[in-house]
Amino acid sequence: MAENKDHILIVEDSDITLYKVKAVLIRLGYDVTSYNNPVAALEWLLSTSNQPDLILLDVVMPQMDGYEFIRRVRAQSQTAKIPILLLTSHVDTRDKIEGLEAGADDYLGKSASLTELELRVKALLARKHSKEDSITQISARSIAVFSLRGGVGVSTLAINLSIAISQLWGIETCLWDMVMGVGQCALMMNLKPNSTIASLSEWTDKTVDETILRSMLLKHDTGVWLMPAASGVEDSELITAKMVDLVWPVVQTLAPYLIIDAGNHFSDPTLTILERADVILLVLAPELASVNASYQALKVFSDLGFPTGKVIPVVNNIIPSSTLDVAKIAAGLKKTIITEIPYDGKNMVRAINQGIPYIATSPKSETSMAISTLAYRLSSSDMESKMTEHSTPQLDGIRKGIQRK
Amino acid sequence: MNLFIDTKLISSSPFIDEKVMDEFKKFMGEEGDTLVKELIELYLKNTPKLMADIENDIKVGDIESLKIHIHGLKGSSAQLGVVGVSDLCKNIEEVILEGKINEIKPLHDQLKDVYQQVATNYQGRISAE
Repeated sequence: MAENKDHILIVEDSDITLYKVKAVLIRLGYDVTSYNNPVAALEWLLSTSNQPDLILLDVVMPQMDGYEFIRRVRAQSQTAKIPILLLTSHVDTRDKIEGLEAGADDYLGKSASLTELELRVKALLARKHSKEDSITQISARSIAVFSLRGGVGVSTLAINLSIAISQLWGIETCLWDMVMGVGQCALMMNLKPNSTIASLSEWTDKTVDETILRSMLLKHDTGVWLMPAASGVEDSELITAKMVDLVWPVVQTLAPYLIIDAGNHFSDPTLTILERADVILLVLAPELASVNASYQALKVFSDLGFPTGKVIPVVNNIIPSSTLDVAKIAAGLKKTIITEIPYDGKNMVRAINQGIPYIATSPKSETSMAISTLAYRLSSSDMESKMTEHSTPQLDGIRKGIQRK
Repeated sequence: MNLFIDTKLISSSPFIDEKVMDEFKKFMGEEGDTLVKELIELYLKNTPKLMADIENDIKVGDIESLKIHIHGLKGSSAQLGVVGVSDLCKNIEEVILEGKINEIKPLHDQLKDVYQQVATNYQGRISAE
């Protein structure tokens, strides 16, 4: 019998079925939590820190049907990725479609043999662990840089942050320019795009492979791989949320860190990116309209159920001085501001005009230091444990600076 | 299928597919016998309430509630291999789906009879141990 201790939740209103399936799973060596009421199960699931690795779910239940249960599980970020095996007594095509649309991973008829139950459970758990292992190996982390107001330095921060993470740890990063139609990352890095993900608009396969995406990337000599934006209105209209879903799992495998220039307006593809990213850097300038736009963005993120800690406001001083200081902005947003990028307008503009990223032209400035410190904050929890021996004067300086604080 | 066989004459019942519980017993190893007995006891404990709910649903004409209770009885009976009950539940589900409401009662009468025979069979097995 299995030696693992994967944790399985069973939600089944029939005490008889529950008793039998639970006995089988315990016999197979799993930890089992069971509920005969889906409402109570959902309440437990959304509050527990002991998340299950798999959910076995009945379809027809008086308090809430299985499809609704799946929709609610999928709507919450902490439970969205738990595999779900539907236990159903009538497996016709309509039920399969409704279950798949709701987000089930597999089906099992209640009259299926216990061996089939065992094999399906093992297959779903193996698939889940395989995904987790691949994420652990490449230490994937995705950071979306976004603002609801243009001209506050989103692209500049995304580019320089990508370079900063790359240089801090001596690793490659991937920068995805998702500013549709008017993405400027390639220009600001003096790179010339060949093709973009707009070319995938007629892609009919369910997956896209790494080779295809790599062929679109442009290598920058700072260690950043740029996935350029779709250019022009026609190409940008080809970018859909579905395409983002297609590309997302693969783009994360291209480099240990993925930084996305998510632009400055909400669209379906952008919202898909923002939902999937681990962290959203919400960039704002110290002026009232920008603070107000950030307040509106935070409200949308809250309405969408994004965890509060996922959104990190970053004040970018794009003007030499402002009467709106960080404390006032933090009070207005009801959020702590942990990062403020100092003003260096003249050198920033010169860097853009030269097509050389700012952090490469002014590596020792206060502004570069602030960006590198932000890069360290975002990456150190993963990287410090893997690279304890890694040492550069810049990295050591940031380590000391963080320790002093 | 002739649903009115006198099960008192034989230890096994034509309404019970023994292979289902045999598979469970084998799968569960040395605990198998105990777990099968507990499962049967649970079935005998829970089913009368479900049968009463079904009776009441038919009496008051609550088809939605009837669908849920019949579905529940079908599922739990199938788990033990009580095919006589689960097949009749399936028939009732079908006539509900087809809107043949007047066909529910004769099927329900058969259901009560078959369940009673299954319950008698199970009680006999438990008391014999």
